[in-house]
Amino acid sequence: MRRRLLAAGVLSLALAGPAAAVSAVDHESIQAALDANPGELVYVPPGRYEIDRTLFVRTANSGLYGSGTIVQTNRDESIVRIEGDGARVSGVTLTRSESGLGGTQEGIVAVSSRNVVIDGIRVLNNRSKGGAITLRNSNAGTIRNCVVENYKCVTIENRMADPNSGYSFRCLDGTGIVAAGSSSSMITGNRVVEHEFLPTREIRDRYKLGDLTEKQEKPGLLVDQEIWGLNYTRNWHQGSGIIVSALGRSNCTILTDNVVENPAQGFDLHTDNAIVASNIVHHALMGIKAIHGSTHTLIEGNQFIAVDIYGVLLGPGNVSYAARKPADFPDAYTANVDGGTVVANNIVSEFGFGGQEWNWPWDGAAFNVASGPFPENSPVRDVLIRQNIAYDAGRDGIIVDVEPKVVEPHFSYAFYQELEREPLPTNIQVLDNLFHPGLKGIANTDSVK
Amino acid sequence: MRVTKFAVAGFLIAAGTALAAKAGQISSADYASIQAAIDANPGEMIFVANGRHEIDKSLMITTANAGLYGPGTIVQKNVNECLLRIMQTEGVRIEGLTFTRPEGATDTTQEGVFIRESSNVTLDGIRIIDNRGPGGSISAYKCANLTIRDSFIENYKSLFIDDRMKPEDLYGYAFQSIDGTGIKAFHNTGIVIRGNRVVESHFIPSKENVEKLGLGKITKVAEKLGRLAPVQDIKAGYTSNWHQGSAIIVGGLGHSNFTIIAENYIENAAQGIDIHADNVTISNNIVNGGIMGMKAMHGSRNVLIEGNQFLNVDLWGIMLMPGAGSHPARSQKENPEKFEANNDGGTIIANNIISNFGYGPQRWNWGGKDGGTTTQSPIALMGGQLAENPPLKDVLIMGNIVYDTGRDGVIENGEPTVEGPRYQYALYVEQTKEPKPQNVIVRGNIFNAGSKGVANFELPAQ
Repeated sequence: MRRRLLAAGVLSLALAGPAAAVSAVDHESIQAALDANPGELVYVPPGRYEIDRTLFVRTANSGLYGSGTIVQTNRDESIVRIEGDGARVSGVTLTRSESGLGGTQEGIVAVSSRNVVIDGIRVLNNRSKGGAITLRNSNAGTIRNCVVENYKCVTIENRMADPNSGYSFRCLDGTGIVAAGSSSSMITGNRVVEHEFLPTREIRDRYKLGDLTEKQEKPGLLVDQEIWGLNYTRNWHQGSGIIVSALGRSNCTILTDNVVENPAQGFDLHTDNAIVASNIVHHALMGIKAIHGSTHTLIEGNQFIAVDIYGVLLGPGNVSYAARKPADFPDAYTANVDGGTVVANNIVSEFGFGGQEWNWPWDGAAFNVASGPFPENSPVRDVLIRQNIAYDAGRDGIIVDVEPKVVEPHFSYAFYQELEREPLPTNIQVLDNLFHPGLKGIANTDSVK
Repeated sequence: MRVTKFAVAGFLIAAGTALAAKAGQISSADYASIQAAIDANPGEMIFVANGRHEIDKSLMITTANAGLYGPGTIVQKNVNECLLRIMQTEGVRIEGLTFTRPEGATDTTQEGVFIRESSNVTLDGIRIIDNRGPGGSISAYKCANLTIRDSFIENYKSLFIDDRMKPEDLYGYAFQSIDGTGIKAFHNTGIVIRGNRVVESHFIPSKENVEKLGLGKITKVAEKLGRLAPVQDIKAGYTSNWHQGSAIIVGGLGHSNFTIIAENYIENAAQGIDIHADNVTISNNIVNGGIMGMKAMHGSRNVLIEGNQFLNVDLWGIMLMPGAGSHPARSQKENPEKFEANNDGGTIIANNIISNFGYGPQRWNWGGKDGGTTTQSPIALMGGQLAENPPLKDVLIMGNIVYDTGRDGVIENGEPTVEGPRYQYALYVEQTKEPKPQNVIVRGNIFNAGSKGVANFELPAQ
C-alpha cells in the first residue's frame, strides 16, 4: 500500500481519504484494494472508476465507502457482488455505461451473506432484468437511504414453461430493490424512481411491447383467449419498485419511509410478517400487492397515488397452500397462506390517473381482496381494513384542454371483495373507512358501509 | 479499470499522513492512540482508520461536539472497562465504528457505550458485537435528546446472578440467570431509538443450556422474604424466570419520558421492549422470538404501541401492568423524591399483529399445550402487583390482530398438523384482583379465539 502511495501524487493525497484509511487509490484497482485488505472497508475517493468485471466483496466485514462513482461497462456482469457476512457498502454511486445496459445482471447483489448493510448509495441506470439492489438468500440485510434511478429495460418475458401461461412477450421489466429468500430485511428511506421507460402509447408502439414472441400449441390454464387470438397482451409492464419474495421461506421485513415513482408494481410481497408503513407509491399499475402466501402483512400509513389497477391487492396467489406433505416429497411444508393482515390508515388517491389508464379499463378497485386463482389455494382470511381513504380526484375537477372539468371516477369500486369464485375471502372486516364511490358504487358487497 | 486520479504524480508523499490531516481530517492514526487523538482535538470529530484498535481502558469523550467516525474496529480487552464513555457533555457523534470484545473476554458487568448526563448525542450506524452482560451494549443515563439509529447490536447476554436480596426489591432471593440488555436507557428525556437491529445469536434458551449452566437455581434466600417473593420457587430451589434482560429497555420510574422506538428489529430477546416510562411511541418494530414481545409497567403513562409485529413469543405479546413501582401522587413533604403520580394508562394499542404465539424458543419453559396459565395471553392487561398500586386505566385496543397460527397447520413430528391455539384467551384483562384495569375500550380487532375463548370477559362483538 505504501509503495503505491509513493507512486501517486499531491492531488491524490487529498483524494486518498483521511490518514491511514485503506483507499482504492493506493492500489491497482478497487478490486485489488479489497483483495489486499480482507475484512476492511475500502475508501473510494471522488472520481469515475470504470470496470468490466464484477467487483467482489468476498470477506466478512469488508466493503466500500466514499463518494466515488463505479461504472460497469459490461452488461453481462453485476457491478458489485457481496459474499461476506457483515459487509457494508455506503455512499458510492454505481452505474453503467451505454455498453453496460440491458442485460440481466443486478447492480449490487448480496448472496448468502448475513448482516449486510447497503447505506446511502446510488444505483443509476442499472437497466436490467436483475434488481438494482438485491439481497439473495441473505438474512438480516439492510438497504437504507439509497437512490435507485432508471432500472427498467425492454426485454422478453418468457412464460413458455409455465403451464398457466405458455407464451413469451415483449415487455418493460426491471426491479429497484429485491429481497429474495432473505429474512429480517430492513428496507427504509429509499427512493426508487424510473424516468426513462414510462408506460406510454409511444413507448409501447416503439418497442412493440405486449407482442407475443413465442407460444405453445395450446394456451395455459390462466390465459385469456383474447391474448391468444391477438398475439398481444396488455400486461407488458412488469417488475416492481420493491419486491420481497420467497414463497413461505422469508419473514420479518421492515419496509418504511420509501418513495417509489413510476413502477409497474410499487411493492410486491410474497413473504410473512412484513411491515409496510409510511411509504409513498405514485404513478403505478398497482400500489402494493401481497399474495402467494403472505401472512401477516401490516400495511399502514402509506400513500398510493395515481395507480391504475389496484391500490392494495390481497389474494392467495397460485402458490399458496395449507400445511401439507406431498406424496413424493420427504419433508412436510408448513402452511403458506394469506391473511392475518392489517390495512390501516392508508390513502389511495388520484386512482385511475396513473398514466396507464389508457391501457386498462376503469374496472379497478382501490382496495381489493381476491380469491384463487385455483380452488385448492387457501382463502385469504382474517383481514382488517380500517380507517383508510379512497379518494376520487375526478370529482374535484381536473384540467382537460386547459379548462377545469369534473370527471367520472376512473375505478369501479373503492372496495372489491371476491364473492363468487372459490376460495372466497373469509372474515374480511372493513370498518371506519372513508370511501368515495366508483363507477359502480362504493363496494361490491353490502357489508361495507 | 481506469483510475483516472492515478494519473497525477507527485513528490510530497513522504509527509503522507500529516498532509492528509491537513486536507481536512483528523485521524487517530496520527496519534499514539485514539484517546490521545480525542484529547488533542477537543470538540472535533476524529477519524478512526481501518483495522482493529485494541484498548484496555475505556475511551472517554468529555468535550462538546467531539466524536468518532470511520471504518475502524475498537476492541476492549479489559472486562472491567466500558468500550466508550461519553460523560457530561453535548453534541457528541459516533458514526460507523465497530466495537467489540475479544473471545474469552466477552462477558462483562460494564456497559458497552455508556452515555451519562449528556445532551444531543448521536450514535449512528455503529456496531457493538459481543459486549455481553447486564450493563447494556448501549446505555444512557440522565441524558436529553439522544439518538441511537441504524446500529447493530449482536450478542449481549451473559451468565449472571440476579440478586433481589435487598428489602426494597420486595423479593429476598437471588438466582442464576442469563441477563443482558441491548439498549438501556434510564432517567432520560427525548430519546430516539430507530432502525436498530438487536439480536442474540450466541445464547439459546434451551433445556440443555439450563442444565449445563444451572439456570434458575436459587443461590441465596433472605431471612425474611419480600412481598413479591415466589415462595414455591424458593422452596423448590428453582425458578423458571431465569431468562432476564431486554433487547431495549427504557426505564426510570417516572423520570423518563418522550421516547421514540421505531423500526427496530429484535430477535431472540428475553423481553423485546421493556418500558417503565411516560410518553413513549413504539411503532413499526418487529420482535421475533422471546418470552414476551413488550411490556409497559411500573408507571408507564401514555404509551403508543402501534403497527408492530410480535411473533414467536411465549408468555405475552403485549402486557400492561401497574407494577410495584407505580404509585399515586403523594405529599411532597413525606415523599421528597417520588411524589408525582407514577401510574399506568392513557395508552393506545393499535394495528399490531401478534402471530405464532406459543411457537417461540421458550415454549417448553412457559406453559402447556393449551396455553399455559390463564394470564399468558397475546394481549394481557393485569391488575397491580401490590394492592396499593393505582389501577391501569384508559386503554384503547383497536385494529389489532391476534392470530392462531396452529389453525393453518404446523409441522409436528414431520407431519402437517392442525393444532389448537397455544393461548387460552386472545385478550386477558384482569377481572378480580385489585386494582383492576379501568376503562379499557376494545374495538375493531380480529382476535382468533384461544382454547377458552376470545377474552376472559364478555367482549362486545368486534
